[in-house]
Amino acid sequence: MLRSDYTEQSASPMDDLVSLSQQGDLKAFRQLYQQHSGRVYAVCLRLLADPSKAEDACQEVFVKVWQQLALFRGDSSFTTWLHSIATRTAIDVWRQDKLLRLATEEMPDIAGAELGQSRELEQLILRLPHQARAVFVLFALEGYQHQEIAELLGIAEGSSKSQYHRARQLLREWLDEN
Amino acid sequence: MKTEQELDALIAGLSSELKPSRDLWPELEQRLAESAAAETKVIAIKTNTWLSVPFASAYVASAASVLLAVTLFWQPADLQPVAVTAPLAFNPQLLDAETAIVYSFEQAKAEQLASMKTVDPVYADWQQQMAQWQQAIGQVQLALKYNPNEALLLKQLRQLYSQQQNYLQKVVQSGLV
Repeated sequence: MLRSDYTEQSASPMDDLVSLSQQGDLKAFRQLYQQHSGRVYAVCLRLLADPSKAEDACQEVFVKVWQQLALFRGDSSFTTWLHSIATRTAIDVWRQDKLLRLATEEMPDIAGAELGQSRELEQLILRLPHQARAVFVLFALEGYQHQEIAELLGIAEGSSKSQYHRARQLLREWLDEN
Repeated sequence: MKTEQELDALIAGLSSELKPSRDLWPELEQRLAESAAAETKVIAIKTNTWLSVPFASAYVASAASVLLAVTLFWQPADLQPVAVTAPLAFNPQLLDAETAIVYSFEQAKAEQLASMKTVDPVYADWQQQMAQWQQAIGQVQLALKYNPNEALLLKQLRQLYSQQQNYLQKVVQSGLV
């Protein structure tokens, strides 16, 4: 699902939940969390390739959303706004991680049989090199343009394009091996 | 090698949602409560004019008079003991940060153990491995007794539980293959 797919999702019940949450209603906020945590966790895990860090980042996203809800005016849909916070938060952690992560670290295993046939590709995305993975996730799965990705990751637009092609090349090779 | 079109088709088939291995809400709720408390504290500091020393003594005097009046003149309307209508339920949402972490991971661990059927011989020593993690978790919990709510220790506790959980996941899956 790309970013552009979110714009039409703002239905009335969600507006009510947002409005109640803005008034401090934790039960309403919990429902928002339940509706959106899967999407938020997905972007965190795919960017960070570490379930523990992804869980931390996912919580961090919802803490920020809770704190900033009063600033949400509804100019964009809630899902777009939430997803923008999720992506930026995950990228912040990704930046810190860039310095610390060891290349030899064991690759995480994604739990859950619900992944079905996509499981293999999910695992391979997590195996991608740090920067290539981030570019791939943001471009192919989150719908960002290379210029936006370059700004978000602090790299040149050309690097974003070359990393994306590198990621695709690696995935095609690895899929063939397995 | 897979073609570009085949790769695109696989990418299009990826799920837009992934599920964390445990329920993150109890911990999250704790963090929200802490964040709200911190915010209240900041507001209180910013608006503490009415809590300055001259006002404070007046407040104390007023509160004391009200308390004295209530103690002297209040008569309970019904001295019958109030029956307890419902037993106290275990509510993870009311726990402190450490207990929330322990609760959520232990719950997930119990589910993993319940789903365990057989174990691949590669993981024959899984119980010893689990015990070692448990020992490390115990040490962090001991440290937390002396430094409750210390963020670094809580993070360490989460990481240890998470490592233990990932290992257990592998053990469980080894028996399902």
